[in-house]
Amino acid sequence: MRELLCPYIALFLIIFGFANHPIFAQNNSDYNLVGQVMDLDDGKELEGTFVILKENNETKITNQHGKFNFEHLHQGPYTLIVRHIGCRDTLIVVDVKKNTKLIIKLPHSALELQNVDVIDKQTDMLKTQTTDALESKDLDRTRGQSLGEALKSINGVTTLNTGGTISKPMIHGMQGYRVLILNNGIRQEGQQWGNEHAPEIDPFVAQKLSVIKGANAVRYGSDAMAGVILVEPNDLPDTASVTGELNLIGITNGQTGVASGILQGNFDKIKGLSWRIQGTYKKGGTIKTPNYFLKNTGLQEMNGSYALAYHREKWGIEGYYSQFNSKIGIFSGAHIGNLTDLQLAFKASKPQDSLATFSYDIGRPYQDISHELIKTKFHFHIAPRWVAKLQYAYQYNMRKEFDKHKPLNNVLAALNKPELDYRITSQTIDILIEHLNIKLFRGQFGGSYMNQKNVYLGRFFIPNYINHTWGVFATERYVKQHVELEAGIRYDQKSLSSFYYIGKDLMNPELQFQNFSWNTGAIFKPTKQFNMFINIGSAWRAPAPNELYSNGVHHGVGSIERGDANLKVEQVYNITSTALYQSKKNFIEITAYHNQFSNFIYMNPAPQPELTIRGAYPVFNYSQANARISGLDTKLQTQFFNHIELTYKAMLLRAWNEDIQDYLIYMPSDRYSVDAKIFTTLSKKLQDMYFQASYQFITKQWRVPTNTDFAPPPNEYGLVSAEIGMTIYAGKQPIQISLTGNNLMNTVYRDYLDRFRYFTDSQGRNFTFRLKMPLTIYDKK
Amino acid sequence: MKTTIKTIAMVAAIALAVSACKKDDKDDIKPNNPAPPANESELITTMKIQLRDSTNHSDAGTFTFKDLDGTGGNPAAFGGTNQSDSVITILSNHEYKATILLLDETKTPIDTISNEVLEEGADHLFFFNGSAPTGTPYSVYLSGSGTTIKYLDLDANNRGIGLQTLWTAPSMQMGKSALTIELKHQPGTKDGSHTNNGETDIQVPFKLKVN
Repeated sequence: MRELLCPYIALFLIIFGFANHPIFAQNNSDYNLVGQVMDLDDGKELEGTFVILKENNETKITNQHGKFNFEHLHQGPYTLIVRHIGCRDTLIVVDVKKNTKLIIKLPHSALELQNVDVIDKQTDMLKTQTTDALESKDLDRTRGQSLGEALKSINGVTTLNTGGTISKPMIHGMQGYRVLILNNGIRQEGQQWGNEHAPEIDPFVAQKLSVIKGANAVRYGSDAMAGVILVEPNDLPDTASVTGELNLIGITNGQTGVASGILQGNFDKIKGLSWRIQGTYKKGGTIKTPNYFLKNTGLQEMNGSYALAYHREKWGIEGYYSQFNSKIGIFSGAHIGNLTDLQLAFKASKPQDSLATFSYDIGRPYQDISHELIKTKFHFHIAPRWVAKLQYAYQYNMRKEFDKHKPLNNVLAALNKPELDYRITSQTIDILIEHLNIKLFRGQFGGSYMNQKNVYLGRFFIPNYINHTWGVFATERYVKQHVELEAGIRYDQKSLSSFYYIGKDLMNPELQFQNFSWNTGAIFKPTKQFNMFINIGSAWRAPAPNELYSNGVHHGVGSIERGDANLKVEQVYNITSTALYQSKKNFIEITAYHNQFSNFIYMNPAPQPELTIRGAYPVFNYSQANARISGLDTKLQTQFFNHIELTYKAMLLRAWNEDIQDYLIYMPSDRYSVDAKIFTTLSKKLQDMYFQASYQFITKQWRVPTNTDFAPPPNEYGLVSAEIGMTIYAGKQPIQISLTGNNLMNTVYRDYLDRFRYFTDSQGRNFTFRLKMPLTIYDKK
Repeated sequence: MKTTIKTIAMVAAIALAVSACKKDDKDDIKPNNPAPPANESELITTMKIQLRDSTNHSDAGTFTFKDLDGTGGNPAAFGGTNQSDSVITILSNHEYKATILLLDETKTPIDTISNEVLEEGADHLFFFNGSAPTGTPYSVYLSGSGTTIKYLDLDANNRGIGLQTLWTAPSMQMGKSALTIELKHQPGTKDGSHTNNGETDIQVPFKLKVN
């Protein structure tokens, strides 16, 4: 579901709880909940507001008097989600003991009415861009997967994989530097440059994963070319309570176990002070394809985070710390020497190092990754309707990669040092000033600064560097009932100072890049059901150190990569447009986009392989060209008989290098999926039962550049999956469980976007059991 | 108030536990002082084949392939005594003892990596033209040049390694034929087979001319 823009900025005040006399003699399950949604300022009745009764998965839309009603309810607490167009959802817990009537008032501006600071609950206003989000039930279904895999269920998102355990999210065929990930509001700064470097983020941190598609430079940074991934935790609780959530997941393939928990609270005695702690542990072993196990494909992950916030009437401060640690085994049969090895591996019917048995051991080659984030955020209300936010973050990323073999020299081998070792330290400062509804205008102004240092300790692949980036931006929006218009501009400057050796000489090139980016967008809302979004924007990025200076063997891919120190700024012009139709039973979303690149940086194969002492290696030189990427994402959802839901999705993409008149490499092929879901609530103790069956078809990517790849693209394939789930009430305690089967037919396939396709088949049949338990340890209400 | 204090204490304790999970060994390294190339990591820069004619007890030359700055960087080159480009020349009906030396010439003194290969002989095997050796001791027949290569050294499992070999060719050949010398790392899987077994440490395409 997407967010539209909200004239009713965040929310809420509930004037509540009027009792009605019981109208009829009632049994335990026949109460009504009626209500009305109004504008707090002028008392206007708000038509077209979605009111969702979470427990029953029932949605009502308010009528012309702002009224809604739910019938046949049991006694007990219910959660109402009030979703006014574009607003962040308001959650209201209602204890239904008798027929109940609610009046929900949405204020224009929370500031004037609340004595509790609710600034964090405000919706981010810049969403003329196409946005898709995974939250609540949809997010639950991805639990236990890596961030990249979880995002795959969003239309338009695919992943670039290195086996089953390393997934890099791709938006519209673009990944790495072209995708910006905001982890809890902070741009994730890890080692994005490598295709086998997955984002260092624990997806359990998020209660919502959103993808903003298309260039989004103005608000988030000049390099948000393909889009932005937002990893967002829930707001910290603002009423005195201690609550939590426990997730337990078991996955048969790899015999993986995941445990993750959250505990959060708000102090009764100290008003406005709230906290949260969160932790995840994951351990998995060798993965099985339909016919064999893959040696050394285990992983271990241990993550934790905590947050503390203090809010007063006019200001608030928040601290956040998170740590991500993972050790990922790399399938040893995919760590090859030279081109000959790779070709032999591709021809083999079964990869070397395929196993007959399972193991949790992780040996060489493996990656050992840690990421640490410290964040503090401060905000205050400068004046009514004006808010300022200040944010500082420190990130430290350590990536150690161990080759398949220790050095032959015993002294060196005994040290057991990683062959590649990178440490990157980033500090960011963001300032944002925001004004809400002044006449019909809302706007944001801000600036950001980043300082980043990279050092390497092992083998040279990318140089040491220091970079400084700063930018300023301004954006304004005009909001009317049926149309919203927006325009923004940004200026960024980046300096990059690199340090590396050529022979015995230390080189220290200094580069500077600067440019403007802009965006303009509109939302048309001719009716409540139908909305049109259009966004046109530009974005740019400076060439990255690996694209400029890398020079050496990229192990595991068996190729020599050479940077080009003369690369220029890469720039994109993007247009993304979405048509959205949303009624009670139908949902249609069609997104079309076009990206026009100048100086698109890509790896250009050299005509001759290079002879080295390890044999011949193909050589790739970083080059620039004009290129275009365009495509279409569609999603259709329809409900019938109140218990059946059908979803169809299609994703089409075309990518073309205009200079050499050939296709771009590693682009997702066209894909389609159909999904049928039957759902019902059986009794008070057994709710939200559903059964779901899906079929996903991935076509063969035949649109590939000539003579670039090591092997031809694999064939098309189709995967069948199914899921059954329900919520069981043990007294008042809900327990949500589900069982998912993926690749049920145990189909043997290889995926074009999996770099292990040269060596091995993809994962076989896999079952996942999930258990989620929301916990309420103490709640003052 | 008691609950509050308890909660604070609990949060603090868990927070501490979380942050104590893993301490990073943050070496204090400044970006403007990168590690000089190949200081600690191991590099094989040079392959030398020393041929000794055991028929007339004379030195038949040293044949070299060098890539002094490792893979990438400057291109590698052939060169040695009695050597033109990549060609190794031998006489028919002579017996040659060939010794392969692997060196890391970036180190001072020069590191002889072939000693380590010998030590870990059970995990390493030299191949000639990618042919799996047969018999005990190992030997291969190279059809192009009609040369037979016998392995002289043995690992702990009594399999050949190939650092020392004996070369004989019965008759003169008009043209040059391929002689690709390859070192495979086959930990736990060394059984004389070549295809799809282990990782290539070295692969150098020499040529052989039999006079």
